Amino acid sequence: MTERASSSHAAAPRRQRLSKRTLRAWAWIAGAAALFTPFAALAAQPKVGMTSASAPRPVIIKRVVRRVVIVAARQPTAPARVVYVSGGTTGGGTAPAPAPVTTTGGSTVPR
Amino acid sequence: MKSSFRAMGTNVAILADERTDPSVFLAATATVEAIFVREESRFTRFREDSELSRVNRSAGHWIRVSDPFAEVVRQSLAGAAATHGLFDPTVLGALEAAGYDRDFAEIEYLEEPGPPGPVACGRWSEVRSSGSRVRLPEGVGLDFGGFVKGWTADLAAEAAVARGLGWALVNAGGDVRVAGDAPQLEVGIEEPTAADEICSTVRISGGALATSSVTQRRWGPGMHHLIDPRIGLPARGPVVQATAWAPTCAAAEISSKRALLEGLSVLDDVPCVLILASGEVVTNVVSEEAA
Repeated sequence: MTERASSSHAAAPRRQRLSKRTLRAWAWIAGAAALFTPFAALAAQPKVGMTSASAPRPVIIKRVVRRVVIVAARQPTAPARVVYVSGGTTGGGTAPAPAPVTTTGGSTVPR
Repeated sequence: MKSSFRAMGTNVAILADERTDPSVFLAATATVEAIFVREESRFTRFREDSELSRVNRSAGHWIRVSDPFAEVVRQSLAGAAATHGLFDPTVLGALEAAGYDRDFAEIEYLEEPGPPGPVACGRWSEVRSSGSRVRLPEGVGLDFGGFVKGWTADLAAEAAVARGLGWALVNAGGDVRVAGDAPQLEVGIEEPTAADEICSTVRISGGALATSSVTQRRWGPGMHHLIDPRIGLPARGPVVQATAWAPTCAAAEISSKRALLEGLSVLDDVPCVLILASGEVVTNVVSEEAA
């Protein structure tokens, strides 16, 4: 028995212990991974409102303020130096019209 | 380039090409401001020592006036004749009776103002002007209102170009005049009830735009600065705001007042954008697509 036992003990491969240096390296790797994993997750999440550069921007007019009626006058009265560009909108879309250089509004009182 | 200052009870802005030499722009801006200061002191009715006050005190007698004053009288009487009195420089009595009897900043808004009695207008045809002399009928005072603001914007824009700007846009509280060789400039027309919002846009490369509105300079329900000479009271019609184009701002001022008081029939001969009390915008100005 003693011999068998002794024989069986001798058959099991002796597990080699990792060196202190290797253990320390693995500890560094695990620590770094734990540190950077949340940042990587944040960076990988989809961004709100991003579209590809080539995709046309959608224009959404939320509310048309006015209905514009262009009246045919008896004589052509609008000279070339004044042109009606647009009716205004509010609410806006993602591609607003450029702001006019100035405005007119009837004896405006400064506020 | 843009600069602004305050004059004639409103904001005055001057715009010019971004590539302008800053020193040239500065000199032009100084000229524009000096013109507004000079003409305000001449035509204000809120200062006893102004030429306008002196002329109004002399009603019933011939009085010698400066050349610019004589010119404004001449142009305003011509405007009154052309609009059959809808533009009337002799509405001062009605304006004061309605409550606009001091600088607007000093007038309190009243929820329930006493109704003003109608004051007879239309005595512009009795005003006499000969060279540098003027005679008002007794009991009549002149108030050029926005007309002088537009006339001054004309002077200022032309002077700015003479000072070396390639083009200049002068905006005196909504009276817009473009002088010189300007590109196409977009001008927003403010919402009658919300000046921060734009309800329409027009593009001009010359001439002038002026807007008359019953929603500005109000001191109570139905009480505003725009007198209808036919009734001698603040105007009450289907048009709440009228923007007119003309070669000069003085002419645009006359046209915008006529448009506001006359209504839709003005579309037959005045390039304008009307905003009705119903909310509709009606215009005869050629649209961008058709232009």
